Amino acid sequence: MLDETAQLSERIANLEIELAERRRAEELQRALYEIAALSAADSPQHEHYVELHEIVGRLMYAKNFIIASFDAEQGMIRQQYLVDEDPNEVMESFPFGEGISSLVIRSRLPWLMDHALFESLVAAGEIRAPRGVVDFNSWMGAPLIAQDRVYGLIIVQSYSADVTYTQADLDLLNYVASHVAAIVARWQSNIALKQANDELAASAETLRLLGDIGKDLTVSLDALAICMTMEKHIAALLPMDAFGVALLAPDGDSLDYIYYIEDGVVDSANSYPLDHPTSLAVLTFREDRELTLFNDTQLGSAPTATNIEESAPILSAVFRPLIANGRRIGVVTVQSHLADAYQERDLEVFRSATAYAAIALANADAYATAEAARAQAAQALHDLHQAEAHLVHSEKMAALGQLIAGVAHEINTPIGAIKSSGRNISEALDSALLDLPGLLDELDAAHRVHFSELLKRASQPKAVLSTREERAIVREVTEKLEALGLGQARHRAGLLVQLQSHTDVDAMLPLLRHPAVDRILDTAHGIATITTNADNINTAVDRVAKIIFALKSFSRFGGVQVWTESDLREGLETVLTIYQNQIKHGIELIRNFDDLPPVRCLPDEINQVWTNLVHNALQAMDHKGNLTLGLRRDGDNALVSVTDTGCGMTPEVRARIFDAFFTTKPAGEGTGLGLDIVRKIIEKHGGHIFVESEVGRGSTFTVSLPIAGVE
Amino acid sequence: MEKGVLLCVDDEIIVLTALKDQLRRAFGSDFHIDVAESAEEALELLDELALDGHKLLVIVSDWLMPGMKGDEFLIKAHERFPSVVKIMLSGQAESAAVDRARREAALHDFLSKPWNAAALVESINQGLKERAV
Repeated sequence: MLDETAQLSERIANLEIELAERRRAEELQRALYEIAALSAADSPQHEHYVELHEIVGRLMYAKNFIIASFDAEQGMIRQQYLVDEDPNEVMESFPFGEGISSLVIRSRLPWLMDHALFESLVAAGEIRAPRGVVDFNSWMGAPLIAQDRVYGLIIVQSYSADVTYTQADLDLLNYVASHVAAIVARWQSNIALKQANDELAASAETLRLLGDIGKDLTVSLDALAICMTMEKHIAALLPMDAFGVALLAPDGDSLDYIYYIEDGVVDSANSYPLDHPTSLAVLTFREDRELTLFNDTQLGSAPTATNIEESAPILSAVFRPLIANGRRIGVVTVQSHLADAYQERDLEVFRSATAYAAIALANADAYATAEAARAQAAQALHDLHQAEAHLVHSEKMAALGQLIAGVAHEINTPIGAIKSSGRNISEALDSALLDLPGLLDELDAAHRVHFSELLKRASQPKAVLSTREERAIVREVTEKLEALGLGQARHRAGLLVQLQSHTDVDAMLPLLRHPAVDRILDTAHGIATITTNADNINTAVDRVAKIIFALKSFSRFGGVQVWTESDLREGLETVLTIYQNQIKHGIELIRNFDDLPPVRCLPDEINQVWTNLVHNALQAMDHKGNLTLGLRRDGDNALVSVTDTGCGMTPEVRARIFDAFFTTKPAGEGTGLGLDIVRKIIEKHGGHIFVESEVGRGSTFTVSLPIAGVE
Repeated sequence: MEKGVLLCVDDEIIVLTALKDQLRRAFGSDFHIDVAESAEEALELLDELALDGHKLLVIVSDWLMPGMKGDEFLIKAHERFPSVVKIMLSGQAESAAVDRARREAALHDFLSKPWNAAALVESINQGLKERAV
C-alpha cells in the first residue's frame, strides 16, 4: 500500500511536472508566436519593446529588462529599451569594451551571472565592473544573433535574493533571444532599406534639382543671365549671403568679377591679377582646387567688395574653379555670415551647379565669339555687296558713258533737222504771204484753177523716195521738159518732182508756159515746203521721243527694283534704239522674235543684260556684220539669243569670260565686269546663260529665264 | 553751162530734207542743190555731175554714216575736186577724223548738229569767197 501510495504520489508529481512543463511549453509557444507577429512592424517602436518585455515577463522574472543594439561598424552598444527598479539605471550608449554586455556580444554566448562568477571574471581581467560595484543578485544576458551576426543583446536581472535564475531560465532566454534576433535583424534590414530608400530619394531629388539648375543655366547664352540664374538656385538651396563669379580675362592674366552680390547688393566689377597675394578667387584659380574656408583667418585678409558695406563678417566661404572642356575659365564663390554654413551635401550641390555654370559660361563665351565672328562676316558681306553694287553701278555708268556720245548724235541729228525745218517753214510762210497775192493777181481764172490743183498735189502725203530714185525721176522729167523746149529743164524738173506734179507734165503745161512760171513754181514749192518741213519735224520729233524714252528706261539708277511682268521684246527694242546709231552703220540686224508671254523679272537689270550682250556683239564684229536677236519659248523658260558674226572666242577665252575682271579689251575700255554682272543678274532671276563660239565665225550668247520668275 | 552744184551728204533723210529747203532758199537762184544718203552714193553722183558738165562747188557732209565715214569721203572728193568747198556737219565726230579731214581734204569748216542755218550759209559764202581768191 505504501508502495502504491508512493508510486501514486510519484506519478502525480511526475504528472504535475509534466503538466507544468506542458504549460510552460504552451506559454513558450504563445510567446514565440507573439514575437513572430512583431515582425509585421517595419521598424522598432517603443511599444514593440514593451510588448517584448511583457512576453519575456510571462516566461520568467523580468522586472529589470534591457534590450541593446550593437553597432559593429562604430563599435557602439546602444540601449534601446530599459526598465529597471534601480533609478540610477538610465538608458545609455557606450563603446563596446570590457563590460558584461560586451562580454555577451564578444563571446556570442548567453551568460548566467552571480556575484561569484562576476567577481572571478573581474579578477581574471575578462570584464570590468561598471561603476565599480555589483548590485544584482542574479544576471542573465543573451546575444541577439541572426544569420551569424550579433545585433545586440537582451538582459534580465534580479536585485532580489528570492529570485535567482537557473540554467533552464538561461536556456529559455537564449531561445527567446534567438527569435527576437530574427525580428531585430528584420527591423535592421528594414531600417537600412528605408535609409537607402531615403538616401536614394534624397539623391534623386538632388539630381532633379541639379538637372533643373543645369537646364536653367544652359538655356541662356548671356553670361550675366547665367550668373543670376545660378545665384537664384544657390540661394534657394544653400545658406548664402554673398555670391560671385569671376572669369579669366581674355588676355589671360587676371580674374574679372563679372558678378558679385553680397547682402542683396550687386558690387561693381572688380579685377584681380593672377599674382594677387590675398584674393581667394585668384588662389583658387591658381591652385586649381576647391577652397573651403570656415572661420578662417584668410577670410579676413581677403579683399572685400568695394561698394558694399558688410552687414556682418563672412564666416564661411567656398571657392571653386569653373572648368569647361578641361579649361579653367574662372572661379565661382558662395559665402555666408554663418559659421560652418556648408555641409557635405551643400558642397555637392554647389559643385554640380558650378560644373553646369562652367559649361553655360563657356557656351556663352563661345556664342559671343561666334556672334562677333558672324557680325564681322555679315559686315564683310555687306561691304562686299556695297563694293559689288558700286562696281555694277560703275560698269553701268561706263556703258552709259560709251553710249552717251552715240546718243548725242542720235538726238542732235533730229534736233538739227527740226531747227532747220522750223526755220524753213517760217521763211516759206513769209515768202508765201508776200508773194501769193501778187501772183494770184497775175493769174487768170483758168490758171488759178491749175495753180490750186498744183498746190493740192503738193500737199499730198509724199511717197518716200531715196535720193537716188528721186534723181532718176528728175532726170527723166528733165528730158521731157527739154523735149518740150522748156528752159531751165533740170531746175524745173526738180521742182515738179518736189511738188508731186511730174507724172502728168501735160497737165502742167499751161503753168509751165505761163510767163511767171518761175514765180508760180517757187511760190507753190514754198507753200509745199511748209507741209514737207512740218512732216519732217514730226518725223524728227518721233525719233527724239523714241530715244528719250529708251534712255529713260535704260538709265534708271538706284531706283527700287520691282519684279514686274515684262515684255522682253520691248526691252530688246529699247536696247536696239540706244544702239541704233552703232547698228545702222554696217550692221545687218535680224530679228527672230516669237510671241512670248511677259516674263516676271527686274526689267532694268534684264535690260542691262541685253545692253551688255548687244554691246559685246557689236564690238566683237567691229560694227560690221550680222546681229541676230532671237526670242523664243522653251517650256517654262524664255530663251533670248544674241548672235554676232564677229571674231569669236578661243576655248580658253570662252572659259573665262564670266570671271570678274577678265577682259580682252585694251586697258581702260572694259572693266571686265560686264559678263560677270550679266551672269549674276541672270542667276538672280533663276536663269542660265550659255555661250557657243567659234574663232572667225562669231558667238551666240543664249539666256534662259524662267517665265514665272523666281520670287 | 549748168548752174554750180551744192551737194549735201547725210544718212538721215530728215536732215537732207531740212538742208535742201534751207540751202535752196539761200542759194537756189544761183546753185543747184543735190543730196545723197551715203558717201558711196555721193561719189557716184560726183561722176554723174562731172559727166553732165555740172560744176561742183560745195560739199556739206555728215561724218558718222553707214559705210564710208565723212572724213574718208571728203578726202576722196578732195582728190578729184581739190577746189570744192568742203564742210563737215555732224552731231558726233571723232576729233582725229576732223583733224584728218582738215589736213587731207582741206576741210573748210566743221559745224556740229544741231546747226544754225545762218552760220551754215555764212560758212558756205565764206568758202566760196576764199575759193574765188
